[in-house]
Amino acid sequence: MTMAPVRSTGRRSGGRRPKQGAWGSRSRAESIAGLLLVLPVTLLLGLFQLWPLIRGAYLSMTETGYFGGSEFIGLDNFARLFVDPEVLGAFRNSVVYTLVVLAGVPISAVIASLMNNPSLRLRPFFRALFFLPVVTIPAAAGLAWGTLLNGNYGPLNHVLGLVGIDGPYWLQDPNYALLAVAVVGIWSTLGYNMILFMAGLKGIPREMYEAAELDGAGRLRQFFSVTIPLLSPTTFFVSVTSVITSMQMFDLMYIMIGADQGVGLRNPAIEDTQTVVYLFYTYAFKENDRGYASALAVVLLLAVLALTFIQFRFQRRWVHYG
Amino acid sequence: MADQRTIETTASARRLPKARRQQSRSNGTRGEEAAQDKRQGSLTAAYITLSIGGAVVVVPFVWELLTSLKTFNESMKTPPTYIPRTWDFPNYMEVFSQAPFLNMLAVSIGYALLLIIGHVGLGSLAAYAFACLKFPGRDVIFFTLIALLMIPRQLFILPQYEIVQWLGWTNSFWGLVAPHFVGVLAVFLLRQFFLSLPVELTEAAKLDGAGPLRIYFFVLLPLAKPGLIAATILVLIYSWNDLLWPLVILNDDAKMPLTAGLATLQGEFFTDQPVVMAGAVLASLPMILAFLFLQRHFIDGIAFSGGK
Amino acid sequence: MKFKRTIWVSAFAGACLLVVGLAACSSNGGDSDEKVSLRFAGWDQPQEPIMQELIVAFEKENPNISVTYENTAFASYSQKMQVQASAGDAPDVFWVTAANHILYASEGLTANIDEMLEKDDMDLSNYSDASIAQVTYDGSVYGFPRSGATSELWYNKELFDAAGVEYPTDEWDWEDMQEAAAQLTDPAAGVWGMGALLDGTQSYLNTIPAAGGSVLSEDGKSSNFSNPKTCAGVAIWHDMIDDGVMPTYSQMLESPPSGQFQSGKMAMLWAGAWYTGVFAQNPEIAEKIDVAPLPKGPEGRVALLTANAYAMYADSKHPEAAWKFLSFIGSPEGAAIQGKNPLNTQPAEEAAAELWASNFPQYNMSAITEAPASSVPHPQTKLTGEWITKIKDGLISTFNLEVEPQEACDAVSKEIDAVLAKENG
Repeated sequence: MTMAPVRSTGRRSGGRRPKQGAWGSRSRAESIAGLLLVLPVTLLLGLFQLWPLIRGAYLSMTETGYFGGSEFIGLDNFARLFVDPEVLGAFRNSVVYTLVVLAGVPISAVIASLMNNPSLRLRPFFRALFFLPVVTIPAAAGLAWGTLLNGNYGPLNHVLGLVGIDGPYWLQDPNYALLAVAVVGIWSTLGYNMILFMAGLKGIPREMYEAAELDGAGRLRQFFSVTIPLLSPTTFFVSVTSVITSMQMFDLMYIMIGADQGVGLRNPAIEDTQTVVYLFYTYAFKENDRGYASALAVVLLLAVLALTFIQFRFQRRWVHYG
Repeated sequence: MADQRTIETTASARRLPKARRQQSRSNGTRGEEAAQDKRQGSLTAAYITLSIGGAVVVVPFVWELLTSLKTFNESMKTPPTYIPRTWDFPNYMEVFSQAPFLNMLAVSIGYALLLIIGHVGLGSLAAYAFACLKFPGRDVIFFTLIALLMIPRQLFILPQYEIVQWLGWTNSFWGLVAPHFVGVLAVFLLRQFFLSLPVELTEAAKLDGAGPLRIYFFVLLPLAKPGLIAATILVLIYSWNDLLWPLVILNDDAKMPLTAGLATLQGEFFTDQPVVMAGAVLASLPMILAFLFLQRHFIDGIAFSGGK
Repeated sequence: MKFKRTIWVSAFAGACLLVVGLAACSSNGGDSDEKVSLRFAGWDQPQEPIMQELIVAFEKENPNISVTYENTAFASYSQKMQVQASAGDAPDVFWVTAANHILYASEGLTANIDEMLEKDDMDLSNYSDASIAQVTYDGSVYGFPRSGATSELWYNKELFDAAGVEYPTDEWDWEDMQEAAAQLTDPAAGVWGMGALLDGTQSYLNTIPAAGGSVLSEDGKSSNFSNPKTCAGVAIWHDMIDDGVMPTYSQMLESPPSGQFQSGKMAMLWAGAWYTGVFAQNPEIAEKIDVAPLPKGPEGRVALLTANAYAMYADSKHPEAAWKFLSFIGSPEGAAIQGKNPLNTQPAEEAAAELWASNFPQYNMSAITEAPASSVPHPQTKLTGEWITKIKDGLISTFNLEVEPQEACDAVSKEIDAVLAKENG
């Protein structure tokens, strides 16, 4: 099924100007209609996102009591944040997690290019296979992986044991827990990124490959000199969205690392694994320290903005728009 | 620009080792056959790689399924058994008796449906207005909303909870839905979509004297199917997998969607791996089935969202 | 057009769900002149049917009041309560965990029921003094004791027989326990001699008083955790892990001891009385096990009494109806309904406790029923929740054999003092 071709519309200005004559008398009707149509969405978003943004910023400068009540304390929360080892650790963990998940992006690109081989049969089958993790509830995925990685009963350590490696408790070892969760993170986004790359690959004209082949470039060479440069807009999009979503990851952490056997038994690896959002959840809903949690959220926002800005800045170096 | 690219690729091809180049130049027809073999070879390599990759990706599901069919004792054997000795389907029955599974499923479905109505239904109206209509404040409003996309949801949660409390909707389905009823991403995507439609269509309709609403419903909407489906799929995935907000706003197991319900199941039945796994299988099933039946739409939807 | 049809079908389905949703939600606070709706909250999913039984019995006698039960997992229960209370939106009647009595009472969350008890001519004579002490704050009563449960030593008779070890007796002390554990541990068969949930309640919070120590000082204003006697209560666990008869903290986090016990991988388990119903219901293990009193420590046999309670919300919108319900579940009638059900935890109400124990003639129930008499209450201050977490977290390293017990105890002691300093200003 083909759709209306979608080009990168980054340069297009929004909206078209109707011919002045035809709608001159209707511009009032148009204005009213326009405002009415955007009203529901704008109102709801204003109430549930814009206002919370302002309120959240305010909360970040307060301290809340145990059962309610708050007190304005200015930037004290932020001062505390910047020297809090737990917070700094969480940011480190989030960044590491994000980087590892980013490393999975080339994997989806490679898989996408294999899938794009025109003579490949069973494409829907493979596509479904790789996409399954995306449609699985993260909680379910976390549980399944948790069982898989179980140090005592899990098959991974069993198989490792057969080749003489003594597998650690993946989800409890401070050295490996974050990595384990990140692998699950890659696993669950692989299919999604693969689809994006496949679409991007389709946009590369065949002539490029033919020209390269005529010049004697083998498939591998073609991959590096044709595919990668022309795929870079897609790669850029994938990496920007991967960074944003990875920095906000919560579900996997909650299920895989936060489990406490119902009685508050803590995972020894938690300080080396918890990400910023998980820490936010702990402060906001376990310790009821809402002001501090809000401040943390504000800092997270700034961090994400900064990372995205950096990526946009660097895109000139390696992204070729076509 | 195409010439530029050709020059570049030719230039990089020139950097190939001399031997290779000589071979491809001198081979003629033999070169073609070699190329054919190479293509065949790379096809086989593709099959192998994809099969291995696919198998690795599927391992957790397989393990989940196998574990869900084991008895409690068998799940705790070291070394682990791979094929369940007895196929213990009662684990699945256990899930239904231990957790209000059907309630949770209904909540998940209801949540997804309402979010689709809001994000896609209301969102497409707004997207149309942003894309095709002129009204005061249009760009200001739009770009303010876009800025919201960048903000991590966590910053919203506490104030959103306050608002829902104030409305008296804590621990209720409406409280669950309200803050997420509409979203910016769908508006953004649909606006992109409307912008990509040819101007002539709306121009023609205007010349015929159609007002903005008529144009939307009778001209653009019938053509909007791909965009709407794309947005629907994205909202469906997002709403189905949402964990944090249901955990925060709901107290009662029976009111939770599958995501949060599963997390609670894990907290309460941590000893009984097979039952927890059975719960995970059941919880994932609806979405997996939906995907298998609507694969084409999923793929197109996601591809569309990336095409900018 | 298939797509159009899909839209109609989905819209219809959506409409149905909306109706269902509306119906489900209307149970929350729909008040006419006569019908009052109460919210009742607790944790522990297996006991939910019992709560429903109570509700049914109560509603029969009080047709104007309808009660809905909300079950939340234990781990998030206190948080939920906090969040709701902050909003002025707490349930009308709810379970209170042992650690939070004082916090809730002192912060005005739970209602002082002295006057209501007097008005209705109710006394708490069917509860032991220790239980009543757990719901008393500043001289007033703030709820009805719900559970009066301790932990006991559960053991697997089959494994004992196979290893030729005598069953635990009333006379056992810690040495006997360690000896038996050593003989029962069989690495080849993957069997551990001993296990326990290292959350405190079912392990070291029992052994600490049994060793003559205490978590807090007598006046409750400072920590007593570095006291060698206190530390001995921690060291006994460390030593058993070190001897290889008990898994490490991490190993037990990876596979819970109650699970290992139920699958025959653990010969002994310290478990709370609320596991009785669970074990009895598990066909794989029900016949093979029995229960004995906790072994005596250097200062005798002491168990920790976990006393949960029922309380009502001080700011309830329907205080009279809430009191009616609360007094019902605290009455002998309400207690009996709970005691009858084997899945209930060990009730605090005396008659109910007997009733409950009679559900399990196959086990040595006197070990369980006699334990509360020689038990100590859970140490409590206002910020119990906070310093208990410090203890749980701080002892992980010693239970993973990374540091010596005294070192861990000293570190924990400092943390407890920090929390207490916060509390006492």
